[in-house]
Amino acid sequence: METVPAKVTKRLVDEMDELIDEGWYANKSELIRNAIRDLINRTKAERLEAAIKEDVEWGLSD
Amino acid sequence: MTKLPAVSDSGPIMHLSEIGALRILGIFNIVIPEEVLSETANIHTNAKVLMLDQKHKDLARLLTLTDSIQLGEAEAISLALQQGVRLFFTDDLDARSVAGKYGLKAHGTVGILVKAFRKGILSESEVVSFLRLLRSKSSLFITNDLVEWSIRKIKQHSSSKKRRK
Repeated sequence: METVPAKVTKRLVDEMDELIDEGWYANKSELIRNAIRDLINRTKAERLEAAIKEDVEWGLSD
Repeated sequence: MTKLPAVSDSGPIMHLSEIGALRILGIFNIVIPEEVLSETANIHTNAKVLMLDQKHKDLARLLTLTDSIQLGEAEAISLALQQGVRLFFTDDLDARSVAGKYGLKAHGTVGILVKAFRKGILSESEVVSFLRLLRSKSSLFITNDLVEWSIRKIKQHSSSKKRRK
């Protein structure tokens, strides 16, 4: 695995710790990996949606 | 009917072939580069194969390095630029973004099917059935929600046309 240096606010760190204390994630690394994976999947889905909608509009235009 | 010139990468050719709708590509004057020909060697199309000159071969190679797209897509974008063709067919989201940066208008298999319906080559029921096949039978990734959204748009278009008559 690679290490990616990133700065985050104190508030985000507190919120991450809260989720870890509640048992949702084993540690910060796991939480951040999950968050990035979700973000990538969501972005891909949004790009696909925009592309398909653009295609349909173009297809139906004169 | 004037046929619009377009360059395609292998995605739309393969996906249309997988659902038995390859004939609709005939509404365009399709040109492809050599790499796309070799990627779709087992599919018979009327696409014209054009060679890239050295400058555009170099550009294609550069695009694979700088924009992380596959050679077929890079050659297709480069061919569109070489030939001054603005329309580029791809189902790859990254290739679509790169094409946009070069001023090309990129569309995918869904767009081609809908255009064939708009031009009267496919009936409403045919385009609806092809869109559903695209989800169930082809290797193109598309969600059920997007297929159904596209079908709703087509039906809205048909009913607004009927109302105008």
